[in-house]
Amino acid sequence: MNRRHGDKPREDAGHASAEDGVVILDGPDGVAVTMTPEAAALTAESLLAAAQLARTQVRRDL
Amino acid sequence: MLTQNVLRNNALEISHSERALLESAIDRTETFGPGHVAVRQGVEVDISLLLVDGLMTRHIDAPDGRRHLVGVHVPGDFVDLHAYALKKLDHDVAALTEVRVAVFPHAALEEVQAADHLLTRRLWFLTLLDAAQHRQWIYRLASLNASQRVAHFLCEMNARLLAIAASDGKAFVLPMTQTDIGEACGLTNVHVSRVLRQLRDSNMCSVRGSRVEIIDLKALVAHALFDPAFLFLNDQTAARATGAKEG
Repeated sequence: MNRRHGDKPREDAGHASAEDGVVILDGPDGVAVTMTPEAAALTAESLLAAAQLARTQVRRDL
Repeated sequence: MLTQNVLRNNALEISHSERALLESAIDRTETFGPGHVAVRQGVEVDISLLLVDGLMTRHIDAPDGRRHLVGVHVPGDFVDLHAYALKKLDHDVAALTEVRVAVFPHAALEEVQAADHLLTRRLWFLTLLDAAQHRQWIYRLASLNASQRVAHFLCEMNARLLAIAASDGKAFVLPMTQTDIGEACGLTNVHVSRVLRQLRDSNMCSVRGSRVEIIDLKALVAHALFDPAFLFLNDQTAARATGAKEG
């Protein structure tokens, strides 16, 4: 059996785009979300903060 | 014949005598308009419905008010055969278009069960086919990106409509709004709109109103990672569903 895909964090980035006044976030791993610009901006801030913190942590071997 | 599309072009064909017995278990037909909830979640039932004409959905209403389509039914589908054993459903069944259904009292299905064990096994097969489709819908939502999800859904509908001669493999009528498709694929209608534009710009398929035109079936199937095995079609129909066989 192949190694389970969900065991590993994704190394490919999601892609955000604007469409009809909303933000669409596509992938990776089946992510498909439509957000208001405000929710998207807050998500972006939260992602950046989490990424900064994660870089300071020791990564468990996945 | 009201049962003509049951297991049509399927790996498990139904014989003439079995079809006649099944036909004899029909009590009546009924017609419903679009949006009519034919079977309500949690309500006890003593009948099961076979879809004869039109499209129906299985859906679950989430606490936040959103509707999730968990199944789309085409003619020949027993939309709630599982109610024969369960007696009430964990979801609603509703008409997506004007529909005609054949009504099977559970008492009549019990007589079928007593009279013909092979036909009973085929009815069991139908509910297993339902389960296979549900597994594929979970896979689609969990593993495919937005564009692949919509492409996969369109490939599935094409395959199922091919089996009942409601698609010629190049075009078919799919009376679903972008919101409906979004509810089946876990996407907003804005997202569906963009994906449909991308599929058209990539020369895979075009959806205008209710008409789906397949421009390049092989490309659409490859993009969707679509494998019709879960539909248990006969070999010829399965080959047509992937573009491996023309016409």
